[in-house]
Parts: sequence; C-alpha cells; structure tokens
Amino acid sequence: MGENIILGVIGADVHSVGIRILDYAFTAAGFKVVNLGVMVSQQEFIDAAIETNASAILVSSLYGHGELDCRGLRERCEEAGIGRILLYAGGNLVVGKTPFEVVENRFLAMGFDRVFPPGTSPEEGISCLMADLKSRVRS
Amino acid sequence: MDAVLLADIGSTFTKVYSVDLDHIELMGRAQAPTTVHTDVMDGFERALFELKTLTGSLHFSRKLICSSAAGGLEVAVSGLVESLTLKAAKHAALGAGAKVIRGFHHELTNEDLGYIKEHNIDIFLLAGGTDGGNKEVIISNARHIAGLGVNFPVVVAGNRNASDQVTAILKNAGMDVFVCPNILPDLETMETGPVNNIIRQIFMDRIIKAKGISALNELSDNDIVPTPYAVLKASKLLSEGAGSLPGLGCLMTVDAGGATTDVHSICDGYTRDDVLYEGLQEPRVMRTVEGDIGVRWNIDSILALMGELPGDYDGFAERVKKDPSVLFGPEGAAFETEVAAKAVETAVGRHCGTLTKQFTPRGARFVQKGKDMTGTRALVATGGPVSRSSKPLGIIKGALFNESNPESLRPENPDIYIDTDYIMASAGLLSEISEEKALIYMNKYLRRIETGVRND
Repeated sequence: MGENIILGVIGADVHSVGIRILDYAFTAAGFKVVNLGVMVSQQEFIDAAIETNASAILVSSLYGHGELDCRGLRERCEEAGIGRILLYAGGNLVVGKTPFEVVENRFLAMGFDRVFPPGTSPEEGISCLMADLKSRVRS
Repeated sequence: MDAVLLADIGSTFTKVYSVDLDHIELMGRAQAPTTVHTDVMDGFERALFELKTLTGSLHFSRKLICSSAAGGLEVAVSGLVESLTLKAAKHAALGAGAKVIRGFHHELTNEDLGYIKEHNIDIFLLAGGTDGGNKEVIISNARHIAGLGVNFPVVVAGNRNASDQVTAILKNAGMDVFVCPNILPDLETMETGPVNNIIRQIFMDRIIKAKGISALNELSDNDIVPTPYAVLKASKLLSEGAGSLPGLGCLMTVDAGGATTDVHSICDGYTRDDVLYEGLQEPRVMRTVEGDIGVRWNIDSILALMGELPGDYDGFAERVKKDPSVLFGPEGAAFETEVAAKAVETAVGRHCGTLTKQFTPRGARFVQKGKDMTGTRALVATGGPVSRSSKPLGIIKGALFNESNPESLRPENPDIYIDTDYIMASAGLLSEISEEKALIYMNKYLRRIETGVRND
C-alpha cells in the first residue's frame, strides 16, 4: 500500500545516475516510484502526479538551471488541482558558490516543501518524506 | 457618391466621420459632447449637425457605430492562480474591448464580494482550473457569487469538469449563464477566442440596452461594438493586410487617453531561439489597458512617476486637476507633451516583455518573460493628446527601446504613424464594409513621420 511518488530530472538536464539511485532507494523503502527519467517538463511531472494520485513530486536537477526550471511549478500544481502535493527539490540547483541556505530559501519561497543540497543521502530524503506524509495524515 | 457615416460614441465626446466609399475619402469629421444622462441621441444629432455644416447635406448609405459611452463595457474577472487562469481571463476580456475593472484570484474574500455587489458590473467572467484540474475554487466562487443576490450575466470558462456544477449553482440563483470552453484547457494553451466572442455578443444584445443607449441600435446598420475593439480590429488589419494589399507586419498601437492608456500589439512575441521563456505565453493579438495612466482624469499617478517637476509645470498640473477638460494654448504644450510621453512610456513598458540575464554553468543565458516587441515594424500613435499635439514625436519617443533600460523589450526601430485625424476606431468600423477600403483609408490618413527614430 505504498504511496505513489513522482521522480524525474527537470528541464534539459540529462544526468541520469542520481535518479536511478533514488528510484532504487525509495522503492526499497516501500514507495511506488514513478520514474519519469531525464529531461522532464513541469507539465509531465504534473500530468503524472494527477494520473497516479501521487502524494509527492521529487525534482532532481544537477546542471545549475534548477531554479529557472522549477519556477512556477507550485502555481501550476494549484491550477491543475494538486495544489497541496509535496514538492521536493535536490541536487546542484543553482550554479556558483551561492550558500545553500540562500538556495533553500529561494526554493521554499517558490512553494517547495523541502530542498536538499548535493551530497544528501537517499535515506535522509526518505525519512523526511515519511515524516511529512505522517504529519499530513494527522492534520 | 456612396457616403457612409461612422460614429464613435465616446465617454466624453461623440465623434462622427463621413467617408466617401468610392474615393475612400474622409469628407469631414465633427464632435459634440456625449449625452448619456439625458438622451444619447441629443449628442449624436448635434455632432451630425456639426458634420453637415462642413460637408453639406448628405445621404448615408450605411451608419456604423462603436461605443464606449456610459463606462464602456465593465467586466470583472476571476481565476485561480494569478499568473495562469487570471491572466488568461484578463486577456480574454481585454481582447473583446472590455475594461477589466477588477481581477480576483483564488477564493473570493468578503472584501472582493463586497466590491462585486456594490459596483455595477456589466459582465462577470468566472474561470479557474485546467480541464481535469482544480474544481473546488471555481465551484466555491460560483456559490459566493450566487449568494450575493445580484444580477449580471456570468461567462463561465474554467475547468470543463466543473462547468455543469458551476452553471447549475448560478442558474438556481436566477442568473444568466454563458458557458465557454476553458480559457486555459492545459497549462500551455490560452484559448481566449470563444470568450472574446461571447462577451461582445452580450455587449451587443443587452449591455447597450441596459445603459439606456439602445436608440443607437435602431440607428446603426452594424452590431455595435466596444470602441477599443474597433481600434484593435483596425490595428490587426493594418498589420496583416487585406486581399492583395500587404500589411505592415509586427505592429503596436498606443492609444493615450484622458482616463486610460491602451496598448495593442499584433505580433508573435516569441521568435528568439537563443532564450528561455518563462511563464504563460501571451497572445499574438494582445491589448492591455492601464487604468491608472490617463493624461487628464488620472494625471496624479503620472505626475508621481515623473518625480520632480520644473517650476511652471505645477501650475498646469493644478489646472488639469481642477478641470480635466481644460485646454491649454501653446504655453502648455511642453507640459502636455511630457505628461503624455510619461503615460506612453509607462503603458508600453507594462505591455512589453523583459529579458534578464541568468548565470549557468554554460555561461550567461537570457530569460524572456512576456512579449518581445523589439522587432516592431510599425508603431501607431493615437488618442486625444497625440492628435492635438504639434510635436507628437516627443510623446511617442517614450515607447521606444532605450539603451538605459535594455531589459525592456520595446520597439527598437519602427516606422511611426501618427493618427492626426483620430481615425483608428472609424477604420475598424469601416472594415466591416470592406477590409481593403479600410486599409486604404488608414494608409491615406495616418501620417508616417519618420523612419528609424531612436531614443538616444
């Protein structure tokens, strides 16, 4: 009875290794992972989430365009009727030496629920997702 | 000779034009104050009388009318997300020639509902949700509106899967409902055409009557259209051409008025292949209205944008505030030009998109938001201040691309056309008889003043 979650690398990014590791780890933890692969548009993330009644969208980005690619995703989710879905982002989200706190705050302001820096272990993401889903059920 | 009468029943003036269709010649034009509070026909008859003193007695084979009298067409719109369905809804209403008096997003608040109840809204456009998307907000907003006990026509153009329920709620409250396809069926597509048509249909069928100007209906040989729609139609024709006559291509019309400043563009604003696009793409045929930017009734906000004024300008400004219809002699020309230039600069800036630099591992990339108008071939300047001015270039220069603000994608190197005789709305009307004749009429009476003017 695992929850459906959507996984993908957004935009024109083709880094495919990390997403395979996440797919493996989240599946092993009991989630039903819909892995959309690389070069996924916002529309594809949203369509897949609607079809599968997913409880979270996990966006990966490693090529430094992450902020551009992710802008407006929350608003589009609202319009598409899944405004409350959990949105996670992780990877090399912004180019350069921007401190992670700055990047995190930008993504939180864009409506993401959690933001992960490079080097985060899959387990950390999994425990965050479990905690968020549990608190959703309670509220 | 085949003479037709074209009339623009404006909020302040009723303007009449007689055009000889055989020679495509403007035989004369005249105006008189619009009289909506007594009988709209009084002002019309007076303008016609003035016209006939110029042209002599005439028989008109046809009479065509547009109107922005009695507040024009006042539409309130609501969507779900501001940058998505609300934006699409605004474009749909503006493209029909309406005035968007308020735009709401997400759930209507008590304050919003208070506004809707108190203001005499002509039409409410209710949107929200893509097809198969969010239903809750549009349904809840329909309930709120139904509960107000007011009666205005409601155009429903939201999530198709919520339409039945929304329609039932409004009809049960005794309201007239017009259902259209969703203005945002999916997150990439804006579909404003059907809403656009239905709004003009409602305007013609009922709003004219409701505003006590239905005598115009009996007089006219056309379906009366809102004046801004006639201007948009003329602009479209000038850009696209008609029959064997070529158009001017990418075009922008700036209509600086006493109360508002309108900008129309007929242009595909998304042609660069070296930039990333952000946000919903705006329509090729697009109209924006700046309700806070008008050189007479809304001069305060323009003055605020101008910052510190030269000493003698204060006096002129005070006189405009006391009497918005005051006319100045040559001594006020510099003041009027600068105020109008600021209005044009601001309105065009809001209409055009922006290009900003973002840094990525592969170097700088450019992100475009809104329409790129730098390739505009023709810039048409119309409106009272422009037709009155002896130096219209001084007004229109504010519309042009400026090196000091390169992010704003304004027209870079257009040919400039001045509407000295104030004919754009009448040209839109004339196009209902013959598009080719309307185009020849515009080519004849718009004054092309300079090519390749740059604002530097």
